[in-house]
Amino acid sequence: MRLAGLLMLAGGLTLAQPTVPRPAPRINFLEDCRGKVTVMAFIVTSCPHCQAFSKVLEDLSHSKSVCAREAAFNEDPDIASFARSFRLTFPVLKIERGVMNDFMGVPRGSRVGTPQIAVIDRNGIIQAQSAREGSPILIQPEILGAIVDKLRRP
Amino acid sequence: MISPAVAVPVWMMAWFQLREIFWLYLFPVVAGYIVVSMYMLHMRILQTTLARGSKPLGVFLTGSLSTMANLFGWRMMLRTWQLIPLYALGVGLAYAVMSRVYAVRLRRVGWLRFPRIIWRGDVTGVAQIRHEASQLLPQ
Repeated sequence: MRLAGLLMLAGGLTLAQPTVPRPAPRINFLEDCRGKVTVMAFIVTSCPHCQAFSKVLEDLSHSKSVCAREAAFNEDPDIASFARSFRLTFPVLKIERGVMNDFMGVPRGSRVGTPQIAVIDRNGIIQAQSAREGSPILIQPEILGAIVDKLRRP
Repeated sequence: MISPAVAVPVWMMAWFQLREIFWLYLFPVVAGYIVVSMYMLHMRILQTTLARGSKPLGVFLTGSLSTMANLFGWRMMLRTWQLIPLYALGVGLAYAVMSRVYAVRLRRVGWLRFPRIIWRGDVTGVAQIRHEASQLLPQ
């Protein structure tokens, strides 16, 4: 019984994610978002939730004037066609999966739920981020909008 | 994970949780219940149509709709295995309830027709149906 408990604890620790708030790791495609409220989403172009979230993010980038960025980490993503088909005006990039792992604090090789979202304040601090298995709460436009509103206030 | 510094309004969180509970836990039960209820209803309408020799429109409609509901339930359930027990709970519940149904009759109100359930415990309703059935039997 104790051994099982210890094993579960060890498993939990190895899969534990850093909690928020925490400083956002420096990555070059967020350099021009410095000083702005930023929503960074790591996506898989074929994932329906990511596709739906892209539309939410597009609306948010106009209505709340946040700095929006998406990065696709699936194998060989056609980001140009993805951005065109969902009429995205913010930059969509192609990255290695490891970059997503490091940014979100997710152990490499573990399964993740997509989209993986990070909301970063003006000071470069992550104030909200998806759990490793994904967080449906951050996909909700009204909740994400409320978080962004809070962070935009001086 | 949302930082405690970013206080999201409580009603927003509550509304999200309510929707999540509905779609994750209640909807599969309802879907399973509807599927079985429709199939059982279809079988009873089919039997009545065969006995009376009436037009098969009801058989066609309930057959099509129950198959549609069934496939919809399967498609929804295949999204994740966690929904299977809840879907099965709805199916079991519907079988249990339908086993207590003696007949479904159509009640006419003007132009409209409403289904009326005759439960097994409804002594008068059951006796009336048996009497009507005995009249239909060849002498």
